[in-house]
Amino acid sequence: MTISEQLFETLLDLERSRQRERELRIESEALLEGLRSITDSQDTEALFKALVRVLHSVFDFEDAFVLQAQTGGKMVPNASTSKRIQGSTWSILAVFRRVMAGCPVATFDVTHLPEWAEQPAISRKGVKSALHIGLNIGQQAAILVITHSSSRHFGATQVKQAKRFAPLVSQALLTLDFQQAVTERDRFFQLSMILMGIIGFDGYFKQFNTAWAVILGYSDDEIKNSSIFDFVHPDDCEQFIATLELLKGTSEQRDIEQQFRCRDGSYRWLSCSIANYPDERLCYIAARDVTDRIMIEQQLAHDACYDFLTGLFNRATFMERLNDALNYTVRQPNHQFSILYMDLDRFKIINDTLGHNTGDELLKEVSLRLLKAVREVDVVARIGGDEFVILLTYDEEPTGAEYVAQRVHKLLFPSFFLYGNEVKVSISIGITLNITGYTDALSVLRDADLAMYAAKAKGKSQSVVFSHRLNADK
Amino acid sequence: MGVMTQAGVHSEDGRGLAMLGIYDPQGSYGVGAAEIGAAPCAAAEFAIHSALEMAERPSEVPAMVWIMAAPGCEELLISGIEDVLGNDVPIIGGSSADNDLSGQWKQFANDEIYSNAVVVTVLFPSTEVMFAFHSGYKPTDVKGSVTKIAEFEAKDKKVDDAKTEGRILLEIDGQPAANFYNYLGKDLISDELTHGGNIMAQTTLRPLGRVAGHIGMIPYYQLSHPKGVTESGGLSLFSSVAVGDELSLMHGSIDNLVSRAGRVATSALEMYAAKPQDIAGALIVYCAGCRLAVQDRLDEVVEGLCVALPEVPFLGIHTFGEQGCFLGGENRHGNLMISVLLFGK
Repeated sequence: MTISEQLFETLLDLERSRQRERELRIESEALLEGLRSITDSQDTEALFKALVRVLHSVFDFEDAFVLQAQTGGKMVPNASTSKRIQGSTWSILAVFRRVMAGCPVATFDVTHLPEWAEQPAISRKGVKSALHIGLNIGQQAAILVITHSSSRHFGATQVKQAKRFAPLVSQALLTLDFQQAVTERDRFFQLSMILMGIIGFDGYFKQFNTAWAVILGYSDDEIKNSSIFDFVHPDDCEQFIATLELLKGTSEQRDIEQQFRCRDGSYRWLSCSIANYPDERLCYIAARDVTDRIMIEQQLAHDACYDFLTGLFNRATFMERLNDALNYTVRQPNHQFSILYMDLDRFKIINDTLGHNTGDELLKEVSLRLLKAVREVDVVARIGGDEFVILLTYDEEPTGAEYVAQRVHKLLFPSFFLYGNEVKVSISIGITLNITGYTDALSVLRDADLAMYAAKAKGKSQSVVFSHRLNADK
Repeated sequence: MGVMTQAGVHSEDGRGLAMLGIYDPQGSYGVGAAEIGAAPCAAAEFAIHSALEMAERPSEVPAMVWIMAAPGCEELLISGIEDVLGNDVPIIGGSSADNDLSGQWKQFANDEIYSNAVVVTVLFPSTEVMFAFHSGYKPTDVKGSVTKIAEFEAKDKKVDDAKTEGRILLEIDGQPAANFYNYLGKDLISDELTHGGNIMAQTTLRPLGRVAGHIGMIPYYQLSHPKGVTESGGLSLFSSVAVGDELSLMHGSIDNLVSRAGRVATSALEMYAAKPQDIAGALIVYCAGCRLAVQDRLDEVVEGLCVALPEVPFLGIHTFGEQGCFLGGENRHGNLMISVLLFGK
């Protein structure tokens, strides 16, 4: 008899375990099936519909809504099956605080809950009992509320189910949140005028945004089927490859400015930040089009060295070169130089009678003929309105200055034809040779100037070599 | 009756005192009490509302209700609690008992002492609570249907008033209930048929059972413990029956009553896939009728509990009627039952 009692109890225990397992399995299967559809949801509306379907497989309820925490300690519904919930604002009081801390709360009479007491319009319209489930969606606190028009509808069983249910739903919502974040990131990625891309070390793009096509003019297919090295300027390619090599195996970031070829054959300067992610064996590149800035910088650099009208060196550059020559002469005594200080004769009359445009054009044409009078290594500069200088350097005795002066006179002899006018011009040249042992550039220039005035005094189209006698005559 | 703890049985001349403390700052608990008076349902409702107020959770559904009440109308008390909370909150506990069924029981709560009150505790613990509610009996093939119950308060020959309708079973299958029970039980209460009196001890191993539900294909039973023979030849019971109920004569054994408490504790753990080390403490409700039946073997009951719940502090009480929640979710008042309530860590 005792054995059969124990057998009966054992059978009961076995059936209890089976029933418990069966219930859990059914509940788990329903949850998993529902969570699949939650995870597959592409937007909040679809997600909420899927969530409601899952809820119905677990709980018996009439309406459901999700309250989202806002700044200022309030919550507002962001999804609801009932229109009467929309537009409501909820305070976060003791019950909601507990719910958000992870303790689901079932109420058999909502009117006694402080949060619901502030919602008489809703509770009057048929909500009697409710189950509140806290959801943790990243940094955002939310509460899922399911309601019923009957009092005492939700009990301890539902609270336990809610405890199992909440983490799964939170995870699904988090996944959706993440998907939305990825979608938003992709939108920014495509919207950005920063050229962004992910490349392998072979240079081929794994991913790129539309800025590449917009700025460089290639189609998506052309970019997809090309290596980034196809776009880098041949002169810059070596540096680009070297940069990638340096990044290999590191987590560093490097910044370089390179020229990239556009589809029309022109080049644009891109300022590139490149980072390597060793785990992925990929490089992330973000580049800004800095062509305009580079052009301005180059122009400024040019303007600092060259005369804006003639394109010859300006006074500052000339003085720099003259100082270099002086210094070099100190170290290399065999090295000599001379300068020709030139001033156009009667230029003021030409300017006054034919106009400034003609005068400016004349200066440009004179500059071109002066360049023809010298070697490539010589320096020709415009240092004043109609004043030009030539710096000649020699490794041996400076015998060529007077020869160059003669070439200048000869080259300027033919008439210039400017805006329909024939213009004849000559030039006076003062020459300084460094055989007198100068130590500063201004002295050299001063003596050449003195010689030039001596040439002027001799008449037009003359050349005078400086001598100390000129100082005495002054 | 005394009490049981993990340290053993505490009973000297039938007296013993033990206390179980709960420290749960993240949880919330409240106690409410009310005189049962003439309106048990209303008393239970009042008590449960008071308990919720004390817990500062008015209108919230607790994880569990612990009940302790004077015996006699437990079904109505359960009904009153369910009228407030709904029927999906486990109600677990036991009815007050004394040593000789003379009605010397007391209830105390919130600085008050009562003789005929319902005391409820609402539990909102921060950890899981687990429970199991079993009997240690098997059904026999001997059955009969209730054909008549007393519809008014009836005076027992020797025992106390039976206050609740359905607690006096007059006829089974059209025959006087006491005679019929004696026949089914093979002269178990022959002496009391003529003299009346307390039959608790004789009927402890042969109570009446009704199917409370099924687990799979196997029925589980809610027990009624006959406590006396009435003048009209009826049986007074510790729990109510209704006309039409099919009663089975149940069969128990001392061995099974001794081992059952530990098995119920194990069953509670298994139901929640918990291990003893997950348990912070336990409350055990062990029927006073069973306790009287096992007598000196009560130490073995404690040993069985200690084996099932090693190093878990527990408090075991003996009651004249047990309230618990069956696996199907039904809150029931029964007799000769064992309830185990476990508090998770």
